[in-house]
Amino acid sequence: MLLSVVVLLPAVVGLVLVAVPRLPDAVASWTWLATTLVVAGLVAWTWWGFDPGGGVQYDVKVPWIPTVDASYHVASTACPCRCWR
Amino acid sequence: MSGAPAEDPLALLPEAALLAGAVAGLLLGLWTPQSRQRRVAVVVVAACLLSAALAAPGLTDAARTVFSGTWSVDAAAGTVRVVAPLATALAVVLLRAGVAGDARETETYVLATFVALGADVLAASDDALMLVAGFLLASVPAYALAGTRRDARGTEAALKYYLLSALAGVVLLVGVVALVLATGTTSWAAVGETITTAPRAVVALAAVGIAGALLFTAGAVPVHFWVPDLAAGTPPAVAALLTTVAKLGALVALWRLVTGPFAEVPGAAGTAVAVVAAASMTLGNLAALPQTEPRRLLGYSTISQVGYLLMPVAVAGTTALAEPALLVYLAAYAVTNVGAFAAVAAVPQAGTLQEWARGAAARPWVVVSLLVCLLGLVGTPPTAVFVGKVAVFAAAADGGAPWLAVVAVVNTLVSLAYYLRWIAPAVAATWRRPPRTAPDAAPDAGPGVAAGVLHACAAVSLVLGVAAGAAVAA
Amino acid sequence: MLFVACAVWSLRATARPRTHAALFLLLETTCLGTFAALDLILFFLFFDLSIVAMYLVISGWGHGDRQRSALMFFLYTFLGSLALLLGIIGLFLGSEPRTFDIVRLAADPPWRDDPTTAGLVLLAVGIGLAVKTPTVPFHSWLPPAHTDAPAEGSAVLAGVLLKLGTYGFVRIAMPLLPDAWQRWAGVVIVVGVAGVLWGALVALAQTDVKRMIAYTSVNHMGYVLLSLGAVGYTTAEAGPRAVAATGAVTQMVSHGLLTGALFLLAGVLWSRGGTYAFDRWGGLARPAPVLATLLVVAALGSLGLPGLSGFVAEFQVLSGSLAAVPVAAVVAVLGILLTAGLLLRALQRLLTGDQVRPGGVDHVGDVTTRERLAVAPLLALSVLVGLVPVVLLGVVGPAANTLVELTSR
Repeated sequence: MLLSVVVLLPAVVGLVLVAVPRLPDAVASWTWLATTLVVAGLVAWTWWGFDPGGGVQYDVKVPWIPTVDASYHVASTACPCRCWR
Repeated sequence: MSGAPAEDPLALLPEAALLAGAVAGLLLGLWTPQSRQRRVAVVVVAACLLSAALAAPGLTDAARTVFSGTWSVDAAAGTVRVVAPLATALAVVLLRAGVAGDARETETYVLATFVALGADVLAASDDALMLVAGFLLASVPAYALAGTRRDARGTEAALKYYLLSALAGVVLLVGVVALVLATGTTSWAAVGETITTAPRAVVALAAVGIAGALLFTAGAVPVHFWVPDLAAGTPPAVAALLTTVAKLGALVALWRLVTGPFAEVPGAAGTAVAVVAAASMTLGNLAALPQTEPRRLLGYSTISQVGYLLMPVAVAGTTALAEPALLVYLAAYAVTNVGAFAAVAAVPQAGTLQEWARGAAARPWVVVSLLVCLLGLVGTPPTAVFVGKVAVFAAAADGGAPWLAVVAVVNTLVSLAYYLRWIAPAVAATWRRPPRTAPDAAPDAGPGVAAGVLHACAAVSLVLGVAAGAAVAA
Repeated sequence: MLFVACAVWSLRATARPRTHAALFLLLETTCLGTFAALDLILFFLFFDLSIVAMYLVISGWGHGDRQRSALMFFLYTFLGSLALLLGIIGLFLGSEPRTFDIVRLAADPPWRDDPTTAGLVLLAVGIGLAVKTPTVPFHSWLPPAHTDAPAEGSAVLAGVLLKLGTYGFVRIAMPLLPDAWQRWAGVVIVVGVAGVLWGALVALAQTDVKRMIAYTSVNHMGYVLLSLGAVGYTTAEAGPRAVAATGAVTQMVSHGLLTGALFLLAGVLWSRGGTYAFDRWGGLARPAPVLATLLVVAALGSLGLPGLSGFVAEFQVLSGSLAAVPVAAVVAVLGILLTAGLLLRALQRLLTGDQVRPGGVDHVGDVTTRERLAVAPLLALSVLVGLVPVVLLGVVGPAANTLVELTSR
């Protein structure tokens, strides 16, 4: 769940930013900054809670097209943790 | 009609709804003053929606045939019975903006409904004569629809369509006669049993005739010549209708042909279709590349899309992935194509891509929806056509024609080039013009309605892309 | 972190800030999603969307010949993603039972008994990812895209989007096609080394700061590929190969931090004078000392000075590959020398000597607080990793071991 929030939060905020009419420019910029900081913080938190020897963690799998076994499957492994820095 | 084993009038309820809607619309329109003919459009749209709603529950039922095995009720037919009326409804809404106040307004709506009915019949027919009926139903109303615009281009489009359609009709009948000569029956099921013992030349003639006519309705190479002129010479709504709805029926009918009667025929049925598919894709894309007119560009793009749609038909017999791939892509294509034509309708005065970009520059959401629809036609995730393309490529690779998948991938890339030629100026123009923050009054209702349809199609395309799981499981 | 930096950077006046912010947030989601996805279709979805978002950023906020560069970027990388799609379908079709799930595919790699098909699938996946990484010879979209993109766009492009390509290799190509990877590891190594050398050589010849940095990106990604190829050489022991794998990941991180910082700093040049050309700037150390310091730190890190993350990465890459493919490693060292030379020369031309300014600019302001706030954390992280690498390696080490195991099957 946390992972899905981390991944999708920026897009949701982005959508809100374009959908709300008459948003002052400064508000938009600061919202953007705030969102990225929040996401970075969440990523740091997942990194903190990550056990290096534990393989795949924070696993979420929601079946999408069952007949071909495509699913919304996100998880945290060591490599992406680093790539997120 | 008595005593025959599987006779179930209720199975034809969706078609009955369409027919009732058409007739009611016509009668209503005859007694309505010119200025109030909007109510006919309402009736027609309601009938289409009702028809789709009636057909939807039947999607998950087991396959069966009714009326002495001439009409098939299964997932493939069901998909067309749901998607075709919905696409027609959208097209009628689009049409309303273009033909409002026209002397032939009622007739146009009614004819559109008949085309939808024809598509239904084509998709569900399990019998050669039923197929002929469906073909005629789908194409004859189109003659008049093609000539909606009574200018030089409209006349050219109508004439080309009429002549080619008449030729196709004759070829179809020749094919059917040959089939009867060869096998002694018109029902697909019975033909499938006796075809292996029939004389090969006659069977070949039958196949070419029937398939040729169906390819004409679908707008595939080598009988595609009517498509670009029709797309350019008719209002966008009519072009959307004729390049989408009739195609749905024709493609499912072709699929039925390949998997039913001609399944046992050794030789090149699958390969022939594959070659046609490759030719359509390539020719459509290559011809679209130099286009500067949005409608002609879309016309050629529909030719290439038929190529992708024919891929699962080519491998229909050899892999289980083909049927769901075809159906998903059909639904996805219908929505996205109507959306693309709606985009054209949203900027009605645009004769070239540059003019379209200028006209749409002040409406950034229109450009966004166009982006979604055109990238959708290319197959960018998460649109519906992406799911369709993945399914179709997988089916082709699995069905023993991986070369076809590679050709399709190359063609997808080529198609991106001309879609980008539409997107890029539009995006660039939007950046240049500051978007208005206040809601701007649409200059007249037409483009506003078209824009509404465009946004709806873009949204549905995205939703379908995400919800494809349910669709495929069904 | 990079996205935070870009957000801080763009706090200054930007045209159409709402859309700008929204697009970058969308980009962030696509990148995060690609890294987190464990399903091939999901991976591809985010992968493709990142192309669309980046196209819009370049065409909307770039400069120079931005429409054309953006289009070229879109077409080229889309071609790559289509090749990747073919490869994904190939993987799907080869799996038993049919699945797109990466975890399941890794547990039972497809096409084990059909080396030709496995090779073809790897080719498709490889080409797709190679275009994105980018590797020689699929790199020609990178310089124009970088030159004409806005500073924050370039930073994200280099820092994150390129990693999508290399991450794809680590996540998809290697664990899911182990035999094919082993068999073709030689090709990967050659491509990597070619990238190292080509990137450095062409960067030497550049007259434009941004293009030069762009080519150093090609150079750095070459190291990653070299070490990933070394992992596939099962004739060598597992220990050095794990070091190589760790090096690859560290290089990915380090490159992101350092090159991101470099691009943001290049953006400073653009905002002050509107040009990136070397001969239009000179002697900036005196009027803009902070800028000079930051530039020096970033450049030194990029060439691999000990104390910064670049050194840790390159050291691991080279020592790991030395054990497996000594010749290639030695050639790659040449690359380091070349990079050192070109970066030092760039520093010299920009910072020392007489003051040269583009016409019309009479005062070169030093980095503002905002720009400082954006760039400094990136460099600080790089220093942290350089001085205390265990922070990073503790997490990456076990994963690298797993990768080596998976690829050795």
